[in-house]
Amino acid sequence: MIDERMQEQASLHVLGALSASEARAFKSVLHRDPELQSFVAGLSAATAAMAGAVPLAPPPPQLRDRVLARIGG
Amino acid sequence: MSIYAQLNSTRLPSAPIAGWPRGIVFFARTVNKPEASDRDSELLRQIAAGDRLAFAEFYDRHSPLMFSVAAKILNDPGEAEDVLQETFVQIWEKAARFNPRLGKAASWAAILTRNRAIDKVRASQRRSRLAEASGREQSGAQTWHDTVNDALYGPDKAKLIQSAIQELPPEQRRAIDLAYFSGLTQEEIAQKLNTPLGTIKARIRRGLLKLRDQLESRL
Repeated sequence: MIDERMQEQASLHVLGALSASEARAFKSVLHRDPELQSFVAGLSAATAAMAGAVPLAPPPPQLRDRVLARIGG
Repeated sequence: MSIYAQLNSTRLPSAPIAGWPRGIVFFARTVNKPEASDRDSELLRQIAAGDRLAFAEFYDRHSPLMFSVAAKILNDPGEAEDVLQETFVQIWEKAARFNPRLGKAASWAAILTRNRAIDKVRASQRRSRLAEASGREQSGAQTWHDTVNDALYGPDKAKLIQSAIQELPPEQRRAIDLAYFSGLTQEEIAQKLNTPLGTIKARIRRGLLKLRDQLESRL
């Protein structure tokens, strides 16, 4: 059972809203807790849906070549 | 064939749909497949091993979502391009850190992009202005554009997602938006909304749980 405090930490984690020190502490717990990992995956799906609700803005076609060049393509 | 030519040849040809650019059509036809998560995980394993072809495919699959998130946060196409480039370099260097047990690759790519974009906002000290802009135009209120979800899931499912977002209590949606799209910390949200920190944490938690449950039941 994930308590409310840890649910809050997980919610802030998937939104990128934890401070650096809080994020480090949360990740160390997350790494060892499969139940918490599953909980985070569910919240991540919710944030992805929210991110996907933004207006569709395709990247300019030439950007692909620039990105590939950055990795030495 | 040079590696560069191979990279360019990996982009699959596809006929435009209703005026959407080819890249978006490819995005819509590949990422929204039941096997997409497995393919993304495999691509990230290959990228971690230095596979540039896998990297190019990952770009084609996820750059529309990532660019859209960056453009939403920054409201500046040039800066959004910079963020997209930087985020893909990060993916090239850190792909091994992706853990599929913590969510889908699309979610991971979106949060990496979001974090880069927020860093850029902070660096240019435009937070206050953008936070206000976010307050005027929340993610749940956009009904006049095609969204990334339209491209991913089609208009019917995109509407279901949109309605699930809009059904969140406004105070919960506001707190979530301020955290995700404006990059405010929990303390800053509490201050901005003149609301106790504990209440803000509870709103964010309840809002995300409700959205998760609504999406699971509707999709």
